[in-house]
Amino acid sequence: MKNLQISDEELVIKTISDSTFFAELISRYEGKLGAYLKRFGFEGKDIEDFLQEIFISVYKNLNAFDPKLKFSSWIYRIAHNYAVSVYRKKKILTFELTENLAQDLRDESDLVQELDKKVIKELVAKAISKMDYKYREILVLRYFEDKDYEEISDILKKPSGTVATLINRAKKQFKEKYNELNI
Amino acid sequence: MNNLSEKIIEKIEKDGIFPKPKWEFLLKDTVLWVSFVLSVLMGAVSISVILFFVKTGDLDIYESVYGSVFSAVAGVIPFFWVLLLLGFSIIAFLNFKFTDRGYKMKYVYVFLTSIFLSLTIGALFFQSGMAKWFHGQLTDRLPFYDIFQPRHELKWMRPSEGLLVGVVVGFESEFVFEFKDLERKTWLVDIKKAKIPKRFRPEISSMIKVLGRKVSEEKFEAFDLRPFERPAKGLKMLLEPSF
Repeated sequence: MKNLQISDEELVIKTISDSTFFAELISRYEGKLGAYLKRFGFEGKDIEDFLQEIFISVYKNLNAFDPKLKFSSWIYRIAHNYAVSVYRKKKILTFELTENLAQDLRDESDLVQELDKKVIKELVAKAISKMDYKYREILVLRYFEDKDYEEISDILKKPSGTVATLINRAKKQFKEKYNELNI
Repeated sequence: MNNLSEKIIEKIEKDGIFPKPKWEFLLKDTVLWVSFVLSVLMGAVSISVILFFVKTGDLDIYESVYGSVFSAVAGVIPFFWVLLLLGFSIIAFLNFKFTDRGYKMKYVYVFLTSIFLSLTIGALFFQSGMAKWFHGQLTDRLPFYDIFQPRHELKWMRPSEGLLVGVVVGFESEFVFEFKDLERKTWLVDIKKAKIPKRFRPEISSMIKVLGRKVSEEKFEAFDLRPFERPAKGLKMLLEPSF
């Protein structure tokens, strides 16, 4: 089933009539969604269980998929909603950081240019962990998942203008938290 | 197939899980849109009744009827309908927001759009005379409805202050008619000097408001005469033969 040369959207149509095609959709998104959940602070066995629940939910709701949307936005929305519901119950605080986020955010701030990369990485992770959830989630989507404003709008179900405002506020809050830690 | 997809496909097959049918989602979206339209229409009814109350609130003679601008505003605005308007606007907003693509529009625009639609349709209802009908139907059929409305007729039931409301029950001459007020007291009202709106001709059973002066315990001199347009239970009862 692997390496099918068809789009996600076509795969959705095929999966509705034959569940075995779903394996291909799972393999395309398993890694991405797993990493996404990890960035929310979920770990190990939990991630696999959560992925299973997310994919089952995706399968049940395949007929709700609107082909005007990107499939990736739609599946991220489901994963996001799931992560939010678990987050609300558990209040996860830890944060997984990758180098590209540290770099992207560092580019936004001239305060940190001279500092050692490793120290910066730790500080950035701590700063993000201290951010409000609504800002944290939007930074993850923008800088980790590399989603554009339109995709973030579809995932979070918020108008694009609101997404832009939230990203600006998130950057501002990140700088504040970062500065607090870096004094 | 990797480990996770194997597990998931196996679970799907073992538990007999199927994608929910498309009509379920279509139905949900349809319900949201129908609720949105109904909420906008109910908002429009609210707007039309508010306009009707303002139009029939005698704001041109507010000093005589209400005493002050503040009392006039408090006495004219039907807060019950204002609350309904707000409620239905919020419901319309939520319905729209939860439709498939509702999140694309800025929330403030969605809210303002639903109010704008209610305003436009409400103005049409008002123009076509439907507001009076809505208010009349609710007054007759909905228990306790009138308790939550400004009791305009009571504002006019102050003969010693020159305000009288009731029903014409007969004519003594061309300019003097017999009048039964809200408290079932009979008056002779002299309308020789009264200002009467064009196209309004008091007849027997006409519900009217009289602004004027109490001459004696039975006589009243009118300076201003106008129809009482708001359906009100108390006034209707005056027209019943047994009353």
